[in-house]
Amino acid sequence: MLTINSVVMILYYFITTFFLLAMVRNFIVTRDVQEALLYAVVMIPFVLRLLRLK
Amino acid sequence: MNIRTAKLIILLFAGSCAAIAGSLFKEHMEYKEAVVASPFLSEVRKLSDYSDAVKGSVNDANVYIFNGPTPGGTVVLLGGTHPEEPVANLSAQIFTENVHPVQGRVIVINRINTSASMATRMGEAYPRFYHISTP
Repeated sequence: MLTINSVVMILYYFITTFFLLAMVRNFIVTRDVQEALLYAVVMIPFVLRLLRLK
Repeated sequence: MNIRTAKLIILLFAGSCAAIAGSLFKEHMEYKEAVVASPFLSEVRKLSDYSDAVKGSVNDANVYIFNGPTPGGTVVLLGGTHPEEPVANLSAQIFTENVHPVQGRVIVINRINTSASMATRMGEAYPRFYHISTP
């Protein structure tokens, strides 16, 4: 049986994935090196979160 | 340097940072504190002996019970409720190591909130580990 905690956790990971994919997309389309660096650095905690390391 | 090469270098840099940070977080999460109990330890139980809510979870902490030679009151000490405040956990550890009840009962839980203890807070100048030598 899914508890409310599990539902919140699943939604949380969906949100994390959504923002990570948005940043990956922005990283790919940008032509600005500084923006690319910014997106790459901001992606780090999202990747670690999805891997359940942070 | 074209943009593709720059992006590749950036990805390698960010990937290295993520790998280093991830390994540090993992080491912290999997760290098991050594517990040296006082010779007056009577019993070690689990929190799940009292509530099924924590059964099978990381928060199923050890409960150290020290019974005195004569009946009396009971004192419960909880450490690690807020893991970023190490003094409470350290106090509980010191009690576990040194308590000598002469009456009643002392119950100590060194880390009542283990899941929060695993939520690392690096980047806030908070150390992952600290070590204190005891006699």
